[in-house]
Amino acid sequence: MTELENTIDKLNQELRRGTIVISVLSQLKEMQYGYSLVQSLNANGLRLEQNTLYPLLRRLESQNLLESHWGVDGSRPRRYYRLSADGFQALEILTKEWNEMVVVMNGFINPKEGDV
Amino acid sequence: MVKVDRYVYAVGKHLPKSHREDIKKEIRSTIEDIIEERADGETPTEQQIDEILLELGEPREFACKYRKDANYLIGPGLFDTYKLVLKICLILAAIGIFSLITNKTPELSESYNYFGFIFRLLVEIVNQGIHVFGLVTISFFLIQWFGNARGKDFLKKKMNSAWHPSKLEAIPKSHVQIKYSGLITTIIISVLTLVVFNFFAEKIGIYYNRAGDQDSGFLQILSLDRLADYMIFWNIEIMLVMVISLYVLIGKRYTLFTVVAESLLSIAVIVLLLIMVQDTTLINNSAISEAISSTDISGDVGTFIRNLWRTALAIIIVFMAVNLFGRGKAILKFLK
Repeated sequence: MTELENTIDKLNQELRRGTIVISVLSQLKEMQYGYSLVQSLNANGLRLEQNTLYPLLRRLESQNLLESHWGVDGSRPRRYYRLSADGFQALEILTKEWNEMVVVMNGFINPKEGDV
Repeated sequence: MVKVDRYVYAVGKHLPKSHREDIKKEIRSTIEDIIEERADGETPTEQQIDEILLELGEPREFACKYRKDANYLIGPGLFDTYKLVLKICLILAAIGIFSLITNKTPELSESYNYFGFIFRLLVEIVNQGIHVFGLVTISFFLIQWFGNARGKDFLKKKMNSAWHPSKLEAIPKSHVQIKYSGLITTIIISVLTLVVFNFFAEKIGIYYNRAGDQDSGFLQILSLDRLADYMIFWNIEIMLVMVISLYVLIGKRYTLFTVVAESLLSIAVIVLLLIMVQDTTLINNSAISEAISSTDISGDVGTFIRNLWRTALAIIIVFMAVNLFGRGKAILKFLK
C-alpha cells in the first residue's frame, strides 16, 4: 500500500464509522441477532465485517442505545438485540442530522448550475 | 470443529474478563450460524471452516476491537507488552530489595529487632513497587502518546498478516490451566526460603529462659556446617523452581515440558528432605544438651526437639507428595 492509499483508507474508515452506527441502529427497531443483522445489512448493500459488528453491538449496548437478551431459537442460543427507548431517540436525531447533512454535502459535491 | 473451539478460546484469551464468557458464547453461536448457511446442512469441510475463520480475522485483532473504542492511557496494541514488562520489573525489584536489605543488615545480634526489620522490608517493597509501577506506566503512556501523535497504529504492527486458522493453538486442558495465585505464592516462598536459609540460618532456633538468668537464651537447632552441605543443592533446586514458575507465568500456560520439569524438581526436593530427616548430624546435638543442662526443665527435651524438627520436615514432605500427585494426573491428561 502506498502512502496515499494508506491515507485514503484511513479517511474512508473515518467516513464509514458514523454511517455504520446509523445503519445498525436503523435495522434494530425489530429484534435481531447478530448474524441476521449482518445479512439484512448486506442485503441493503452495506458490507460490514463480522468482527466489526459484534464489538459495535456491545458498545452500543453499553451506551444504553440497545437492549439485549439470550434467547433460544431453533438449535442454539443466540443473543438478540433491539433499540432501547434511548436508542429510538438517538436514531431519530441522527437520522435528522443525516438528512440535513446529505443536503449540505450534495450542495458541495454536486453544485447545481446557477449556484456557482 | 476443533478449530472453531480453538478460535473461540484464542479470542477469549484477549477479552476483558468481565464479558469473556458471554462474548465467547456469542462468537460461537455466530460461527455456527455461518457454518450452517455455508454448509447447507451438511458437515462443513475443513476448508469451509478455514475460510470462515479467516473472514473473522486473527483472534487477537478480533478481541482487541472489543476494547478499541475505550479511552486509554495504554492501548490494546501495547497493553500485553506493558503487563509483561511490569511483571518482570516488579519481580526484579523484589529480588533486588531482598538482597540489598539483607546485605545492609549488619551484625545480627540476639537483640536485633526482627519486627522492625520485617516492617522496613514491607514498607520498602510497597514503596519500590509503586515506583516501578509508576515508571513503567509513564514510559508506556509516553510511547502510546507520541505514537498516537504520529498516527502510529501499534495494533496493526503487532498483527500477523499471514495468520491462518491452522496456526491456532490447542486449548490447554482445564485442570492444567494456570493459577496465578499459586505461581506467585511459589515464587514468594522460594525467595523467602533462599533468604532465610542463606542469610539467617543461624537464627533458626528456640529462645528460652535460662535458670537464674534474666537474659533469655538461644538454642541453635541446626548444625550450620552440616546445613551448608545441603544449601548448595537447595539453592540450585529453588532457583530452578523459580525459573520454571516465572516461565509459566510469562508464557501464561503449562506445557508438558513445564509440568514434567516441575514434577522432577518436586521429586528432587522430596528426596533431599528425606535425606535431611534421617541425618542425625544435622541437628546441633551438643548445643541442645548444653542448653538443657542450663535450664530447670527435666525430661527428654532433646528427643522432643529432634521430633519437632522431623515432624516439620514430614509435613512439608506430605504436602509436596500431594502436590506431586496432582502433577502426575496433569501429565497423564497431557499424554492422553
